Amino acid sequence: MNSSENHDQKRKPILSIRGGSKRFGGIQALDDINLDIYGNEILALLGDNGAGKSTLIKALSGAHTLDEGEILFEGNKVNISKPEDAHSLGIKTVYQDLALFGILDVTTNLFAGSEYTRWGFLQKKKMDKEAQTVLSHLKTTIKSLNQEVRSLSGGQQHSVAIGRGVFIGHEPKLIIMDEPTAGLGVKQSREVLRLLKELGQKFAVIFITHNLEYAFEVAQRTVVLCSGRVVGVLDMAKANHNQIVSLMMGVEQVVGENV
Amino acid sequence: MTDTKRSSQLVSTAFQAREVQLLLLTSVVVLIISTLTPNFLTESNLKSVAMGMTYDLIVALGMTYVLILGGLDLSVGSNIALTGIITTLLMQKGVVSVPVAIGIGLSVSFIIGAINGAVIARFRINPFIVTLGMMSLARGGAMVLTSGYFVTGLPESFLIIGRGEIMGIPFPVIVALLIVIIFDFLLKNWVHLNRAFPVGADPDNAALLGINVNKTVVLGFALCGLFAGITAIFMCSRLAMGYAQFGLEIELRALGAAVIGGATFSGGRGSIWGTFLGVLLLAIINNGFILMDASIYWQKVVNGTILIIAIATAVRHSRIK
Repeated sequence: MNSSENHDQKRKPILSIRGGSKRFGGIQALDDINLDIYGNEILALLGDNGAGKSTLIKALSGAHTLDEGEILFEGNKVNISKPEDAHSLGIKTVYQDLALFGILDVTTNLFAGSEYTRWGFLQKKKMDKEAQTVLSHLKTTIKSLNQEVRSLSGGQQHSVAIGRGVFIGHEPKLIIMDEPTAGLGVKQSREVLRLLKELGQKFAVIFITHNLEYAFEVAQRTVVLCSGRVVGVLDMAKANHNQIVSLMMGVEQVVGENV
Repeated sequence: MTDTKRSSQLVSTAFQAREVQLLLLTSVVVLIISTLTPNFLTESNLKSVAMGMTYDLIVALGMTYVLILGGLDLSVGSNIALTGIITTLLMQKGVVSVPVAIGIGLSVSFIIGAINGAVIARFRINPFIVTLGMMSLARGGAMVLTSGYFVTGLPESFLIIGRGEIMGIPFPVIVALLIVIIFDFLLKNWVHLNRAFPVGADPDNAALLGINVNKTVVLGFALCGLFAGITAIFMCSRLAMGYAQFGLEIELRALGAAVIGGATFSGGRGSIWGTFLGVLLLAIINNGFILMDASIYWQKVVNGTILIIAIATAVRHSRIK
């Protein structure tokens, strides 16, 4: 990515949240959130438990709606009140639980619920072809699409889950990865990070994680949340570990960018 | 790609490993029986094997489908009895014409299945419990309607359904084979039937992906009921009567055949041709016993043993993997 291209994208965020707030009873889960996400970047969303990460993600993926504030997508004000709204905008969320059908084959896993049909009949060739395309987007090779998913490696299983979450249906524009490395071993985590980088080449990605090392490795920027507020927006290349930790703990606050 | 490669690929996609194994096993059994008795490979005997397996086959197809859905249906035998009684009573009393009576009978069988499915889906009760209850209920209903008597004196136009032949092949056999071919095609290719696989493999996951799980389950059980109903029509027609004891223990044979054919009790698996071969294998073994003058009681012992072995290997197989 060259710098002028980067500059252009910096001027036009793909998604912005302006003054986003959300209350659950007496708890202010999100408090006047402002953030921008640009194309072709991986944005790490960091924060301690209860900082508001998942509430924010749910507001973007249609599981919750904001009480106040607005969401701008590609410059237009949008209303995301159900998962389908997010999907049709191209906002795709991949949850930590892969939710695959272990005993079913790769193609069925990719298309279950969103099958290509003509007069109710499955278009198997079309789906197999599409499955190959999806897996090649993720630079993943699987010997046979007729294989049971449970016989695949951990990394391949993640590819199938990400492929289904991201590439099936509407064209993806913003991909939200909710703690994709949680509960994984080192080897599988590496594979997921590789997939993340792959996605970051083409799309805007929000990467939620507890692992700062991983955030430093793949993300270009980070938004740090603490007690429902944005306490820092940092360029990863210029940030350091201790700084982010103190932000997450609520010791320090950086308003605006450190650039 | 060479032609041989392509054709072997075609074969492997049309018939899965399980089906090939079963075909080989069946051939071995045929070889053994035909060596032991000269009466096996005769036209009349093969015809009686074909006719004998038809009822079990149609019921087992529906059973395979509910097994794929992650359920099972113990009420198919009672469904046969009740559907048969209602159909034959309507014709005996001359209340309605033969086609209408058949239509009503098939509707009853479909509704019995749909009730099973609706209770299972709506109240999330184990299919074993629900269909065990329906098994008793439908059988009881058939007894109440007839007080245990046969329903006879059926019109000739009805009897032809079970007794007619085309080129020497009994009409029910032809219909059963057509159902096998069509159902296999639809299960593999029609989205509404094919969704039984994700629903059976993991219903919660399927629901998250936007699949209407309850609808799939209700229709699946209804279809299983309808297949029992079709069996009832053939049975009553061929035997020229309705009887409350029809279809006893057919659920066990259907379950056994489906499991031998590759279906499991944990759902998401099952094959129509596998089930076909399972029914064929059991029918040939039974026929062998008859030809060799073994007691009918021994047949039950052997059937039960095969059923347990089939289920045990299926369970073991799914645990290992």
